[in-house]
Amino acid sequence: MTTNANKEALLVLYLANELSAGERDEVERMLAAEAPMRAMLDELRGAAGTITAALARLDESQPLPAAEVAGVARRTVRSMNQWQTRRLASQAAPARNSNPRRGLAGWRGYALAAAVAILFIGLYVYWGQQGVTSTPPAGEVAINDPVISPEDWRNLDAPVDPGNPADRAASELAASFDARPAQQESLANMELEMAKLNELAGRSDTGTQ
Amino acid sequence: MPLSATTPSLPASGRASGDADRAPQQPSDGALIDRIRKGDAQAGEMLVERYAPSLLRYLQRLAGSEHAAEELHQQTWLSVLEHVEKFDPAASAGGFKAWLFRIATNKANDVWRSRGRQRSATEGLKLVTETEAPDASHRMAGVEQEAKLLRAIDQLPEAQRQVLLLRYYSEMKFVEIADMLGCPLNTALGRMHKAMLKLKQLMDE
Repeated sequence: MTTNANKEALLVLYLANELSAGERDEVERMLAAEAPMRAMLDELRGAAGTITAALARLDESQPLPAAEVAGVARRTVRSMNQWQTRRLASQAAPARNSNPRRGLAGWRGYALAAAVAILFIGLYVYWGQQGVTSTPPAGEVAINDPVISPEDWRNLDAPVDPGNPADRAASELAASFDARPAQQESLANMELEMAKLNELAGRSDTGTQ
Repeated sequence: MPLSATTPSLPASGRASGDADRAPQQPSDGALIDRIRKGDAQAGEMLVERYAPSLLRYLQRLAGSEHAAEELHQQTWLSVLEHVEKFDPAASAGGFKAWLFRIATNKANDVWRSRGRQRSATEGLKLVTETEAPDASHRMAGVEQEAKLLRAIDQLPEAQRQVLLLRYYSEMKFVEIADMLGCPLNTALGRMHKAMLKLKQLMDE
């Protein structure tokens, strides 16, 4: 059964031409069979005509000039562009704020690297000094051993005498160096550094002349 | 004689713009929306110009004043920009136009609630009475009719007024209007039916 509410809805769609061909035929059959429904359609059609005409007159009496519409559109577009700009700026702001953090992290990294470098240089210098001044292991003879007398230093060119305590101490010291490649390497490095320093000093001298 | 032969269409301004009315060489609403999503300001401008006449008229009648209509127009488009990423043409029956008018309707509802109906109605009437006329006596009758119409529109329940004005100014189908308003089709049709009869009765008084 079709209620009055359904009939009203069907008639609105019928007047709006929004029914399918089949539905339209069905409504027309109903209209042909039911006088009250025809009266409803007439009433609705009259109202639609009156309202359409009244609204059209109202719009004509209050025209929206093209220039005015264009002006509103222009102002709207301007506010849209401003909105976009603000949004882009707000998106960029967090990125800018994160830069100082990255910079700080970078600065800390550099400081850490510098500290590590200083530590290594200190250790290198310390180990270098240790290599020169370290106490020789037990059984080895120290360079400043008191058994080498001032007279022995004056006879350095004399042939090695196994009976002489100074010659024996020197031979043992040389043997102990042969057995310690690390110290040899350290000495070789020192000689290399000295040679470089001499070379640089030589360049500096020739540059200033 | 078939009844449809003499059947006038329901209220429609005949001036509604939109995707269906665009020239073939003009980009579709969907294409412009995609360009807006990529940050193309010109695409936004084209869409605004495409819908400005019908949307402005609709807002003018809904809000009751030109000033309020322009304010709502701007708010509507800013809202479009704000939510353009979420817009899904497939999800709404009327496509972009229905979405646009829904936003506009919601914006108008917000203003309506916050400012009160009486003030808007007064502004609307003032617009009519302040209009200059070449023929004062002839114009007077017209002004009275227009004032009557505006009063009648204003007296309609909000839901009925929205359906009537949406139909007239956006020229959307009732299926689209119902979808836009989030109500069953029969409800939207019932509101339209009641709005037309009520308006006719008020105009005849």
